[in-house]
Amino acid sequence: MLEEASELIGMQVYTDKGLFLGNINNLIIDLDGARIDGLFVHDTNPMLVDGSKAVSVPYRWIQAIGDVVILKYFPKRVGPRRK
Amino acid sequence: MTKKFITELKGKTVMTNDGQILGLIENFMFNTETGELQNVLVIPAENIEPRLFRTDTQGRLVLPFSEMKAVRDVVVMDID
Repeated sequence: MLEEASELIGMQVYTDKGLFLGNINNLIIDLDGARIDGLFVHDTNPMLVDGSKAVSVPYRWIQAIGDVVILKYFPKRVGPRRK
Repeated sequence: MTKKFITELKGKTVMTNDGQILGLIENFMFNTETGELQNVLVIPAENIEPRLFRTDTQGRLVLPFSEMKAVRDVVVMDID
C-alpha cells in the first residue's frame, strides 16, 4: 500500500512485547537505495533505551503500520556500546 | 550510502537537469510493506504547466523517486 511519508511522523511505536518505545520524530531515507532506512524516535522509553536516547529503528523491524507502528523485533535493552 | 532526514528534503527546490525549476518538495510516497520510496510530491512552481506531468488530487506533481539525481542545495531530476 502506498502512503505519504509524513503520515508516519508523530506516530507511536510499540514493540512486539507491547511496550511503548516513543513517537516517530523523523524518517531517515537512503537516497541511493530509494527507501526509508529508519524511523527516528527520540525521547524513547527509558525501560528500553538507556537515558531515553534517540534511536533509529531499521525499517525491516516493522511488523505493521496502522493507527500506530508495531515492531516485530526490538532489543530487550539498548545501552551504551560496550568496548 | 547517502542518508538524509526526510525533513531536510522537504521544501527543497526541484530542478530538471536543464535547469528548469519544477517546484518545491512537499512529501514522498512510500510502500508500507517494503519501505521503498516510489514518488516525490512537488508543489509546482508558478510557470510550470502541471498538465504536462502526472499530478495527484491536490495538484502536486507526482515524480518518480528514481529520477532524483543530485541532492545538494537543490534536487535535480533526470526528466527528458
